[in-house]
Amino acid sequence: MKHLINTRDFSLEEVEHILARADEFLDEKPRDILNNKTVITIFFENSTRTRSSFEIAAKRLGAMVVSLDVSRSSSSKGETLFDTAANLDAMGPDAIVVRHKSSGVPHILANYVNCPIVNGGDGSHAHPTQALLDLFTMRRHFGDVRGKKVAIVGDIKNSRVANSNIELLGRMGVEVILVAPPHFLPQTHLRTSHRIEEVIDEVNVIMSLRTQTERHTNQIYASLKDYATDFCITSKLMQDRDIIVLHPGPVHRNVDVDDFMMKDPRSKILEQVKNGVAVRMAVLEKLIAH
Amino acid sequence: MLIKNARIHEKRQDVLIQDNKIVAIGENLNAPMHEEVLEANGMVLLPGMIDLNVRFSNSILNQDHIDKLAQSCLKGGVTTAVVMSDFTPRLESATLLELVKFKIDQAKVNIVMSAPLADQKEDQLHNIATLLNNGASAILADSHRNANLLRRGMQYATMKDKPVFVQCYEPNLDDNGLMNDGCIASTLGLSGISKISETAEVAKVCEMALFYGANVVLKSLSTKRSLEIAQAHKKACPSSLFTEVSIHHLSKNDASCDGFNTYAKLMPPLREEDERIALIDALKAGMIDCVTSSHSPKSILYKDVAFEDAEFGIGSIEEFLTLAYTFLVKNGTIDLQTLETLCARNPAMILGLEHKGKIEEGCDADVVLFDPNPTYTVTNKHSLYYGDTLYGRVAKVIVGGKLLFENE
Repeated sequence: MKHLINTRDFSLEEVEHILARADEFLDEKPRDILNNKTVITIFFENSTRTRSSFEIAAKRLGAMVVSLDVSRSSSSKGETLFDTAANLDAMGPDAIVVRHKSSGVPHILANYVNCPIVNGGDGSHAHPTQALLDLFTMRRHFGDVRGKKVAIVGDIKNSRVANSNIELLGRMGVEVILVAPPHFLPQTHLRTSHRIEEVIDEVNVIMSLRTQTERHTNQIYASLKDYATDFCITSKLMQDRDIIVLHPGPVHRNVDVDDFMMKDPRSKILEQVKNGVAVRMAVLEKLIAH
Repeated sequence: MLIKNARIHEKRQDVLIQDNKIVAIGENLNAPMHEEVLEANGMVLLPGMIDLNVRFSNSILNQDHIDKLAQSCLKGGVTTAVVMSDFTPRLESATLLELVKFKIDQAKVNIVMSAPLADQKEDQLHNIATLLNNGASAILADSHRNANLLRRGMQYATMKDKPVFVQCYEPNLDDNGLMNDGCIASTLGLSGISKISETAEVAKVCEMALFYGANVVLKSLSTKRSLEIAQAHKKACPSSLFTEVSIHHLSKNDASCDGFNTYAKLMPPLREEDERIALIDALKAGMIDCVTSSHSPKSILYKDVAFEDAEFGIGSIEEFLTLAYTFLVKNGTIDLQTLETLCARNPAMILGLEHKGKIEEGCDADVVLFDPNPTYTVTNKHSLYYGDTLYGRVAKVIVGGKLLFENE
């Protein structure tokens, strides 16, 4: 039995397999690969997009979906993670998709359950299906991604999307450059910059991130506007450069990406959403049917 | 009681204990009539360990936790322990202190209290003079609370000739930090605890200690830089500043947090391997004055949860002497005599206990027989040392001349 907690759980060979299957699933036709299977989605933190994407993916494969909404209840108080896991396990699911505000919860649950756990995003740790769909989107645009350069821009320190992309892209032979104010830079061995202009002429992809103001307890930046003056991806900044723009959504318009770039064909943000369903179908198939 | 054939500083010696004192040390001592004889068979005799950094389970004070702490101390070879008084209920009245002392007397191990400087929420000083007059052995302060409190704490300490234990940490330099700020924290997506949040406070506290002339113990330091700052200040006033490091920070690094292991979630955090090695170098260079167990046991309800929600701290005093022996002596970092200095002699000196912390005629009979030979592997998954091979075990513990613990 296999879990998908972070991107390292899949070898390069397995990643290739997932991407190839996702390609086939782009036809959006219903399938019966997971007939009579039950997928539980349990989101301890709100997320409309990721949850719907997983649910549509599971249903397109013929699985039953049970969604447990616990984001507003205090169900976990006084309970160990073992207790939580044992309760989920008792329902006999074939896979559990978990989203949690705290890093590491899917990892710990995986120690205690008898079915695959799919990490739907945990704290600032990992969001493996997002990284897979970002890679898939790049692959569909470039063909081969080896040797390409990606600038990740935004609140990288608090971003599970960045964390998963850093791991997976690094392994795929893509160079990642982190562009952010010092406030948002984590400690890594990667190249960093505080100015987009400094790297824009050498990158092929700009991956803009949502600034996670809600995660912060102490004030970090004076305002989102103050942040946007330097780090918003604008058409003025992009000019006619041959660079694609990705964003995991939801986009803070005119903070992360400006209105003009949102409708620019170089922005692949909606395509990422579409690709997300296909990639998640491939992941569920891999973990449940194999 | 006559202890026969014990190894003291590499010499085979006998030790005669009468009432609660060591009265004679020498070769081939004869037991007085009817005196109990304890054959040590060449095991190492050490002064009982004096641990300046222990806490009750879940930081809650009750009868059960006092008994449990006393038992755990004995298992680990600790005969005197200073409790960090950040537990509930707050130790703010002499009456509560009296009650606690009464309960502790029954436990027979020397468990002593520190006096919490101020109320946890409001900046209100506790009756420190009263608490110190009634047996509290030190003042416990947090460096980041308002400067007036720290100043008053140091003034009280000077007046009463007691040490101030200062925990140096400024939480506002981190964002709810959970583990060492470094590459591993980035990979795990866990908020970091920076080194500056400790070192900046150490610098401030050192300056204040010199200015007010108070004896200050810089509690549980985790960085080489903190020790360097303290060392520079010690040159100006050798008797007033003491540095304390836990055995965990000398033996483990932040890779222990991998897999979201909450049993590696400590405060201060375990740092990266380079820093651990730097601490070991500092230990060898004499920059560390005492080593503690930083014992702070937490029940599973506070540990088998998300790393973010888990409480800081682990129980470790039960293996204290074994851990210290394994990670500091067995591997040749320091010798047993230095370990004695770090874990008994210096802490006794800091607490002003002139008859404790050493094996000498006239001293209190708080001693430990330690067998360095047994080895075992830690099989408890809820241990920071899970999977490690440890060396040595506490065989017998004598406190106040009475045999209180025997390993079967």
